[in-house]
Amino acid sequence: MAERDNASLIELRRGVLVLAVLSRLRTPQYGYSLRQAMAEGGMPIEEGTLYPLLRRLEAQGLLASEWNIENAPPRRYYRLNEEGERTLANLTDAWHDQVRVMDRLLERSSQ
Amino acid sequence: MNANDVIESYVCDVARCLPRGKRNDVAFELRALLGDELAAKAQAAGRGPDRAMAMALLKGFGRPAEVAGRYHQRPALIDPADTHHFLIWTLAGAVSIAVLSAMSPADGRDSGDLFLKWLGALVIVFAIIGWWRRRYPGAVGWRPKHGRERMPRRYAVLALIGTLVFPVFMYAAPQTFVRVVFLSALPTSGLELTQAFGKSGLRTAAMTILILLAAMYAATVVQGGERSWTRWAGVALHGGLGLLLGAHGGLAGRGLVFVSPQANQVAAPVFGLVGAFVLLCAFYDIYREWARISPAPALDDRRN
Repeated sequence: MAERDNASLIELRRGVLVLAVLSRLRTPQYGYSLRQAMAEGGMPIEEGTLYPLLRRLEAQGLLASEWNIENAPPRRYYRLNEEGERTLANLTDAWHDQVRVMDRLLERSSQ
Repeated sequence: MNANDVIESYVCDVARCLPRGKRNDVAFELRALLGDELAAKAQAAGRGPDRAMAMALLKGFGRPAEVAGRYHQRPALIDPADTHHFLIWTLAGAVSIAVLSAMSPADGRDSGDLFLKWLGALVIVFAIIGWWRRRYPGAVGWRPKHGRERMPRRYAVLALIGTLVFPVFMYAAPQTFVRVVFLSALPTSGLELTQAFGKSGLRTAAMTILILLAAMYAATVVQGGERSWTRWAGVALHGGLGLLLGAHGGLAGRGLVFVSPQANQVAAPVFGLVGAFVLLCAFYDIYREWARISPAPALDDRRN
């Protein structure tokens, strides 16, 4: 039972992962610092999930990245680009709508 | 091997699973990220990074091929949605090859080799289908094929006529059949049956089954469609007929069916192959019965 609940929770979190990551990239972050920021914000993400996700978002044209090799060790910093900002705004609106809908549904189901 | 060597080895294994153009870039970043993770782990443990620590970190990260799949997802060779049909076709091939080998074993066919070729051909066909769907999404949509009834009355009428004209008439009087069909243009002397075969129990049994098959189609026509008993009767009759035709092949191989030795020589493998085909049809019907879907009556039926 607990395992099934856990799987459902993972599925639920997966749906908002992109929005959560985009929301933390208004300022440039490298992989590990972003993971820390997400964990501190209450949404820990496995490293094996987060790092490839950053690459996929960059490939989708939502993020820009650059290497910082001035300080050792070299790190790749990601940040939102213009398209990413627009997508974040759209997803944020969609998220608020979704929360309202879900609240209504859950309210009815508890009555 | 120290912690850095372990990570280096892991990064190389991940990069090898990626397209060539992405390898160096991903490897460089992955190495830096894993270095950060390892340093954080070492700091939390209050000691320097070691091999065990690196192995624990990488275990959580996943198999190199899985990690590479997250960086660059390649399409499955066989679309997971096609797995069911792939397995069905694989099994159908295996059963067909086994039946063919059992019914006509004399031609020295290597069944194992044939099955591997079948499997290879299936992989190629399914891979091409998957590629086609990805390349042209929506090009081939689903279309309704048929209703619930597999053999409506009009098909049963055709099957009845076909059965009476072809196997029943041909089997009962092969010489007359050829004379009528080919308007006496072909010689029929080679089709004369031996006296022993003409009076044999094998011939009587085959004739009986053919007549029962025709009767089954007639019953389907009268009933206006198939019923459970006609479907199972069809399975039993086709199975029996397939085995009997296989036995005919054995007799013809020993020159005991036709008077003419050449006719026996030609007929022996044909009997075997036709018997195998009919037997496979029976297996297919069994599969269809096993896989038969019987949902609740459709809305139209419930209204009537």
